Amino acid sequence: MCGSKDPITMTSGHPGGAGHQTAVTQLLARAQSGDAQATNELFPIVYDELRTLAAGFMQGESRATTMQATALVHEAYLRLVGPNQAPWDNRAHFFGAAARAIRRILVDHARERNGLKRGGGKRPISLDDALLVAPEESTEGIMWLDDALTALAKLDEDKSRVVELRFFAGLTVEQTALAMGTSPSTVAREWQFARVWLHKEVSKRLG
Amino acid sequence: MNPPGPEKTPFGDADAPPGALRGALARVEHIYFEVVALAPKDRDEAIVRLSAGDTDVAREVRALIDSAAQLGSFLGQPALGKQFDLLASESKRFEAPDELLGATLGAYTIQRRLASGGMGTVYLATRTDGQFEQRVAVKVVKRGMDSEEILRRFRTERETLAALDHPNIARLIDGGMTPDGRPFVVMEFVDGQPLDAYCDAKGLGLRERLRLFREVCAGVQHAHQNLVIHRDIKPSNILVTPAGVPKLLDFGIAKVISGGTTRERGATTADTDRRLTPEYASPEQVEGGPLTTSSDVYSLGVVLYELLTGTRPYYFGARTSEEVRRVVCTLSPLPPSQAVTVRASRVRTTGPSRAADAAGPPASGSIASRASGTRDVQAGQEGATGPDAAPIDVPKTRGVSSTRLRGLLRGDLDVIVLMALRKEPQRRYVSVEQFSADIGSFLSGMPVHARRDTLGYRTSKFVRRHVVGVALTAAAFVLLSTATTLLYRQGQQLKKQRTELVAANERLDENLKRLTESRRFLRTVLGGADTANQGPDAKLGDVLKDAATTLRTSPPADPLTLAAAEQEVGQSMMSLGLLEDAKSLLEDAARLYAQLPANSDARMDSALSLGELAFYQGRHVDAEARFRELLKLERATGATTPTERESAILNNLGASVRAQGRADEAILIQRDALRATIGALGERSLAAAETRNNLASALFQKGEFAEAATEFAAACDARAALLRPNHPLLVRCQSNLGLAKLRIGETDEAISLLTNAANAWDAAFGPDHPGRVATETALAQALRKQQRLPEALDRLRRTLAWQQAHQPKSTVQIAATEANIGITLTEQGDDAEALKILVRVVPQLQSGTAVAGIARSATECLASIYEREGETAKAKNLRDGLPAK
Repeated sequence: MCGSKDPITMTSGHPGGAGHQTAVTQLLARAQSGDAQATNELFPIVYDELRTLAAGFMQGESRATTMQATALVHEAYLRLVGPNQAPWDNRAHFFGAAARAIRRILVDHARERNGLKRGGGKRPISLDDALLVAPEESTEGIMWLDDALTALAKLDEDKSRVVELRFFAGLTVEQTALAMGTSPSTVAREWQFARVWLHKEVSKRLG
Repeated sequence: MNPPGPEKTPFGDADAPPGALRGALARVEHIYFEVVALAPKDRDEAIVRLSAGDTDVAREVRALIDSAAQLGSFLGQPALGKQFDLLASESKRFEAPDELLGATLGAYTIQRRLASGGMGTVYLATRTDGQFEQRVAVKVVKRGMDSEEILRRFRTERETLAALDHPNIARLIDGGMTPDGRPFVVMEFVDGQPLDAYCDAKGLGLRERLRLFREVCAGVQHAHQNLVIHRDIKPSNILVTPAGVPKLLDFGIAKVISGGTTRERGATTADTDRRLTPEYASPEQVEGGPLTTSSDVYSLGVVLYELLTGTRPYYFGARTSEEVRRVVCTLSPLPPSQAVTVRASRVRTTGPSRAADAAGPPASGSIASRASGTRDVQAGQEGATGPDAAPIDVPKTRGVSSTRLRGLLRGDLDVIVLMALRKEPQRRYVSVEQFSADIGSFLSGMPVHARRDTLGYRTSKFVRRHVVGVALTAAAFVLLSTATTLLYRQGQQLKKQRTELVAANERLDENLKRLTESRRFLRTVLGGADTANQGPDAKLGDVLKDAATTLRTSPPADPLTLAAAEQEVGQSMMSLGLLEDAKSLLEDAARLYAQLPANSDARMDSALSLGELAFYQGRHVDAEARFRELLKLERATGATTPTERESAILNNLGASVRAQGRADEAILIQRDALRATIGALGERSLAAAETRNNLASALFQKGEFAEAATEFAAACDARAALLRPNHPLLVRCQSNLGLAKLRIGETDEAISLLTNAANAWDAAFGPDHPGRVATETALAQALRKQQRLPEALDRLRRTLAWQQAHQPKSTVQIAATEANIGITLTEQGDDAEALKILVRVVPQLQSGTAVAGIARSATECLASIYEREGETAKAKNLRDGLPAK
């Protein structure tokens, strides 16, 4: 999968909008039929879309602008797939991609912030840096979580998916169950355990 | 400082076979759930019993039980919640089953969902009482909107809206509140296609399109006569029935839902802005100004533009309200005839449309989903569509060749459309009636009333007012504002003005095109990187390196596009600490930018980056020279008030000078920087607090600890007012203040501040946040001063432990901490232990100038130990090696 160039990404200009709808709908259908390549191709499109949407909201001039993961994902869905309701199992692949995309956006953002000492890179230093050998923001948290989640996926992929859908895409237990094709009680149990396990791992970083 | 490199993952036992690990986790999980259900006192026994002698499993389960007890709100809120300040009710929109389906609202039974949008969901419903079935569209406002207020406004507007009786207006029938408290309106159901899609589907020619458009005007005109403004005219709100009758939907609904103009409400613009469709919004609308019938004239103008050319007058680079405002309020649309030309050449761009992008919504779609036309997707979300968005073949659908179409549009139609699209409401058509009448004149070959815009208007107050506020992102805008300033000075020399302005406009267009192209290119480069397709595991640094390779192997033809891409990638790499990679890109960008004027934005930003790079690489002399040169250029632009860039340059210059040890000079520069920052961004800005903090740093370096403390305190106050408690910037500032207090001998105060800071790191970021290193070190110094040596040692050892875990082994900062431990040990009388440490670290410290102070103290301390041990030769040797004070 590493070497494959995604033709849709390569040719797209501004992400989203009706232009992707057919392509995304087809990808979802292919993903649904078990085509892993389609799942891979879906990711960059969803990622672009969400990043644009998220950036729009983050840059919005008003602090009052409210948005949450669920709404963000929903908007991305409307824009990429369209308002017609797709069956839930079709949506599942979309949510999976969206959750991964949000995770990636947040981690990239954190890495960026960690690398950037000061706003926009235009202000290289202050005594802050001279005295405190510290990155500007406490962005390690999300990176540590990301690492822990990667580790969890190696042990139990379902649990890491539950965390992605619940935490990054903001789905409820019931929605997560629908998206994963399992029961809410299973999701609730996986979620409970994954939270505790991740907490334990992230705590290690804290000493 | 320490660029985040590839990180080691401390999880699990990497060497164990994955299958075994999986099995182990399942076992741990099973035992965990058994145990966690028990009372705490019974758990230990259960763990021992269930783990059956497997100590690893037992330990893991205990760790999990501990974690469960401390879980708190960990992952309790979705990831974006904190950033976006959750609105809980939003999530309701997402519930899988729609409880309204089949429900009864008043006299109507909901049949199926037609469409969803930013404002709500539209359903097809039937009237259940009475003998014959009447189909209606029911629009249910989404949750989270101000239901009471909407209902109140609805009651006020209802009679007016219901009175709109016109064949081209879909009637408002009723309204009310759903059982769960959401307002809804009932409208005539129109089984039709959106205007644009209809025209394309039917392959209507130019004249047919104009005739259809005049019918739309008739509907709007009727409403205006009844003193109702639509406020949200767009093709998706105009449905054409199979019989070819256009009907306007949602008349006055925007006002009911959004509460009229923002000014009337005195609220923030965010809500209205988000609901508005920026492509069709007038300048006064995006500004939140009062709306009149003229605003509808404008929106109709956009609709007509699109019908004639297949493209919209404006596209937005970003969907922020700032960008929308900039584009809608300051840029001039291309005349429709030219839009067709450019369309044919298939160029994408932002700003005034010269785009080949298919305009907006897909040209086709199920009638049902369009029937109620509520694609009122929120501003900031509905983007220009991709190139594959069912592009309409303009020439064919308009029934003529593109050359012929251009010819038809040039002249009267250009003038008519542009008149409707004027920025100032009072300069548009006075009424929709006149607008429509002019189209009628054109159709019948009569002279039209519209006149070409004159130059004077182009530089009218309205435009100029906005030019001032435009962000200095593209060189283009500097050119434009320079031209405007020039016009100003030259007063009456109209002819010259005209030449200047036209030239500036041309350059503006050129630059905008380039800007967009480079952005697109960059997207291709980044999105196409192999690593970018690896999913979430790809490291940003790798993606950037891939991008750099792509830039080298297949650069874009246009040198400035390449430069912009190199600059962006280089800047990002620099931020990540990939300094060498960044260097070659940034230098190449600078080389390519050399063709631009030295004071162009692109070139100045490029130079600023090179200065920062020099700084990060420790080339402080070079950095200083670069910042000085930049400062000269920046000041030569003749800005009468300080700019943000000037404040950044000064701040960087101050840092470069300070890094070279010229504290006095740095203080002067930082004072200047502070003035500029306050001038550009205000006293109560984070930037001002930061500059003040840097001023304090310079003072501190000079040894002016008292004044440094004063400035640090001021910076702390400002940050405390602007940031949340425990924000790293605030904590850091408090720590700095503590250190300054320590130096002026206010040790108690210092200990209190530093302890608070250490606790803040602890509370907010865990005990081992890197910020804590310096705080703890300073605190240890303060404690040592009060002879609280065990506490000091404790602090230092914890710091060392963190450093050893997180910093490269050879870092001088680790040696410095060890030296501090050694010194503290001798104060405790533990020479033997101290000797062991100091012998090892003193040589390491010699290399770092940043630790000169501690190097000297450690050397002297070691020499004293030697003296006490009677090894005077060694002691003398060490002392001789010290630089003179």
